[in-house]
This record gives sequence, C-alpha cells and structure tokens, in this order.
Amino acid sequence: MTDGKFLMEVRRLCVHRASRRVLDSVGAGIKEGELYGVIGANGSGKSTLLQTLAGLLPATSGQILYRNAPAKRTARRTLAREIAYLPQNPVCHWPLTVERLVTLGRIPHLGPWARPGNADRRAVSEAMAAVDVTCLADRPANRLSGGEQRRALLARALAGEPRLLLADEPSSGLDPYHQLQLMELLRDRVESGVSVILVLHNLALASRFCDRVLLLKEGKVLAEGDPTVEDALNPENLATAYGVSTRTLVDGHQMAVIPWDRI
Amino acid sequence: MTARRESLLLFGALTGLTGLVTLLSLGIGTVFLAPHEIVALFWADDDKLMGVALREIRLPRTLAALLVGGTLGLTGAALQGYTRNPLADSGLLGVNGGAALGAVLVLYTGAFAAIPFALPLGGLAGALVATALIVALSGRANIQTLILAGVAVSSLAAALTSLVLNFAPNPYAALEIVHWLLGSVANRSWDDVGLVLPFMAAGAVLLLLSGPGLRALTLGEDTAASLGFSMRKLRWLIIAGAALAVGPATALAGAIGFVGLVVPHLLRPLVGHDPARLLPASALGGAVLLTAADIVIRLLPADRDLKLGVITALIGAPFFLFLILKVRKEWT
Repeated sequence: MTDGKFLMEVRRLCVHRASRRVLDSVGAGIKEGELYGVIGANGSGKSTLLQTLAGLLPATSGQILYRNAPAKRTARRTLAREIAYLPQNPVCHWPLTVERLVTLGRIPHLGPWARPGNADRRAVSEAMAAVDVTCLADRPANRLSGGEQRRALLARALAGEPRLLLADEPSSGLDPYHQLQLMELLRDRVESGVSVILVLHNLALASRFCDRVLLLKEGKVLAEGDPTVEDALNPENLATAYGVSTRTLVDGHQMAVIPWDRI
Repeated sequence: MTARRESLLLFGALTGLTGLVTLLSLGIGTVFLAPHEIVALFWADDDKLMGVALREIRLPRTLAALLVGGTLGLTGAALQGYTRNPLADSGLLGVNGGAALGAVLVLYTGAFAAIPFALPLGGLAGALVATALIVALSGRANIQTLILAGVAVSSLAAALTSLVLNFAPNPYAALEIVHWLLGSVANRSWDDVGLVLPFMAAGAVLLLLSGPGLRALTLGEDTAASLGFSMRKLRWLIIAGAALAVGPATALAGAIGFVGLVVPHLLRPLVGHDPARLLPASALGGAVLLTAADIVIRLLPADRDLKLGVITALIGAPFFLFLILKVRKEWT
C-alpha cells in the first residue's frame, strides 16, 4: 500500500539527451490503480519520460519517487520486480517459443541460474491467457503476425506480475480491432490492481480508456487531468499541443476526442 | 519438465562425446593405444618410451585441442548472444588478431629461442594491447561501436602482421611465421598449456557469468536493463572475458577460425535458443569439434603435416555460405 498520494511521482524533472533539454521541469504523478496516459506531439518528450521512469536514462535534475522513496535509492532488483517496461518497438532477437519468451518476464523473480518453478509457470500461463496468446505457446516468436508478436511481448511484461507497467505506444501498428482489444486488456489489468503508464498517440483511445492524462509540449507539462474536453483535453490545450482542432464524439457516458483539422 | 530432460540429454551427450574424443586423441598415433592401455601407461611410473610419449606429447596436445576448442566455442556463443547476430564469432573483437600479431613479432625477432615461453607471452601481450585499443576506441557507446572498433583493430593487426611477414629476414623465418599462423596444437608442451590455462580459465568464468544477462538481452538492451541488468557490467564481462579467453587460445594454437561461428549455431536450436544455456553447451561442442578435427588430421595419410586451422577453415567456410543462404531465406 502506498501511504502518500502517488505510486510514482516526478518533481521538477529535467532530462537531457545529446546535450538537448528534452524534459523541462516536469512534475506529475500516477496514483495506484490508474491507467495514466502520456500524450503530446512527436518530440514532446513522452518516450523520454517513460525511459527515465524505467531507469534507462539519467535525470539531469529533479526527483523520481517510487512509493514515496527516491527511485535512485531503491534496489535495482526491487524496481525490476515491481516495474515492467515495454519499449516502443519491443523485439525478440532469437526465435524462442512464445512460452519461453513470456518466461523471460520472470527473470527478476528468479536467481541468475534458477529454473522457473511452479509459481513462475503459473504467472506465465496467466499472462498468456490474459493477452490471449495461450494457443501460440509453442510457436516460434519470429513466426507471428505483428499483432500476435506485440501481444506476446506484452505478456512477457505482465508475466513479472508488475505493480506498475510502463508501455510506450503499445497500440502502434495494430489494426482497430487489436487496438481496442489491447486497450480493453490494459483496462482489465488495471481493474485487477496493476497501474499502467501508457504513451499514446491516439486521442480517441486516450479519452475513452485513460483515467487521467498528462499532456506534454516541448518537454513541458501543458496539462494534467481527466481526459475530457472540460479538463486536460480541452480544444485550446489540444490546439496548443498538436496544432489541430478537434471534434468530440459522445456515446452515453463515454466520449472520444477526434482530431479534425490542422490549424 | 521436458525442457529439463532435453537439457540433461544434451549435456550428457556432449560430455560423453568429449570423453570419447579425448580417449581417441590420446590413443591415436604411430602406436594405437586402447583405453585400458592409456590408463595403465598414465599411472606407470617408468621411463618407457610409450609412457613418455603419452604423458609429454599426446596429453598436452589433447588438452590444448580441448581447451582451445572449448574457448573458441564459448567465446563465439557469448559474442553471438551479445551482438544478437548469428554470424558473429570469436574473432569479432580483433583480440585474436592482436594475439597473432604479438606471437608473430616474437617469431620475427627470434626472441622465442632466447626466452622461454616467449611465444605465448607475446600472444598474451598482443591480446591485451588489442583489448585496450578496442576499449579506448569504443568508449562507453553501444554495441555497434564496439563491433566497428573490433573490425578496425582486426584490420590493423592483420596489416601489421603482413608488414612483419614482408620484412621477414629470410624465407625460413617467413615460412615459420606462416606455419604458425595456420594454427596447430601439435608439439605443445605442458609449460605452454600451463602458462595460458589460468588466463583462459578466468576468461571462461567471466563469459559464463554473462549468461543471465545475455538471456535478458534477447529482448533488447532497454528491456534487459529494465529487468535489472547493468548493460555496462555485461559489456565488461564480455570484453574482458573474450580477451582473456581468446588471446591465450590464439597464443597457444595460432589462428583457428570458424569454430566459434559454427558450434554455437549448430547447438542453438538444441538449447531452445537460450543464449545462457548455449554458453556451456558451446564450450563442450567446441572442445569436441576441435579435438575431432585434430584426430582427423593425424589419421589422414599425408606426408606433410596438415594444419588444424586449415581443416577448420575447410569445414567452416562452406558452412558459413550455407548459413548465409539460410539467414537470407529466413529474412525474406
């Protein structure tokens, strides 16, 4: 249980890449059990934020807190067990079977030379069932369609039973059916207690499925809040962030923001 | 469960094969020795010619073949895992080029006649200089830069080796250098083996320790780091391990190619494409392959001494072509 307000929080975070300031004094936080969307134009620093949260990039200044303690001072192994990272273009370099690939997600829970035990096998089969790749268990990972491969690699990230999942545009390259399937699946994971930070380009998906969103522009926070036209996704913010005007589709209680015209 | 049985079967088979080629390698020569004769002669406490031949000639030769083959197989598997490229091999970092240059310089200056162990020492020194160069060139950058640095150092070492050959004082010296470069484990003494063994053992330990990191690296550098592995530590394990293992191996046996390429590739499907279990499997496989090749050389009815490196290249090069065709088919 987290005592404070946030599961993971950044304060005045600055990150430089190749001596260019990519994140500029970013402050934001994800609460436990949230599906948290990070949105913004290309080059606004979304992926950099996610990589910094995953501990892959050093912060120039500012603080990253995980469960109210500086992430820097938390043991690497603890972070690896509790935080799973799914990169923008996840890869599997060898033709492992899907089951072996998903089992790689158990690495932080195993000793360096230990074989997976019963608990590991259970977590692996649950993760495969959750993303519907159980039937692919014995297929080599390089013989899958794009959507199947993405789902298998997502299962890999879930197999570690993370408390927090960092996913960088997991829906990119998927057709509408599989995009919706993926978002429903992440929603489902969130209901079962996982917190998810998601980098997204699709405003319609962000507005429909996220609990809160962070809108970045040129490395700075433009808005953080509910993914509604009244709050973070108001037309003015979106015009500033993307240079587009938007329309809103309402269906009962749900609404989706759709980019309409360039400004 | 089945994975465990598969694994036991594979490692059992490889260990059995290693034992078999060891016995054959000890038994084959001008006089054939059956296993029980080998055991008897091994413990015989006398100066009979056959006992001396076994203990002082065949045993170091067999040990050298096992050690060099194992080292090359292991290093090849580690470098393929690290670069995630099935065409990488133990020569990738240019360490063996450096070792060869060091040994060739010793032959050229004639220092081996004056100083004991000058040849393996020269090889070790060359390997160390090459490693230092690679580290300095590639800095802390990514794997691609490391490969480029390796290619650069390899080319430099090859160029300098040619230069030394070019300046060889007489045809005999040149011939001696060329013969050494072809690669062989014949006429190695206990001193030769003993000198390089500690380095190779240390290198092998480092490379074996890289196994879990290489397994995680299957998912790419970022994901491996997020699984709790330090990519910097892994890089050091690989560079130091490869240098410590391949440098002495080259110093002991000359330039022997293709073992590090072929062996991991043959064994990879048998370990479920797991880069970590591939390491010990390739070490055993390399030992078996090189010792078997050394046996073949001795059985061939040639009036001239056929070099081990020539045989491995003759087997390896066509295999390499086959590999290219296979990879091409997989990617199109």
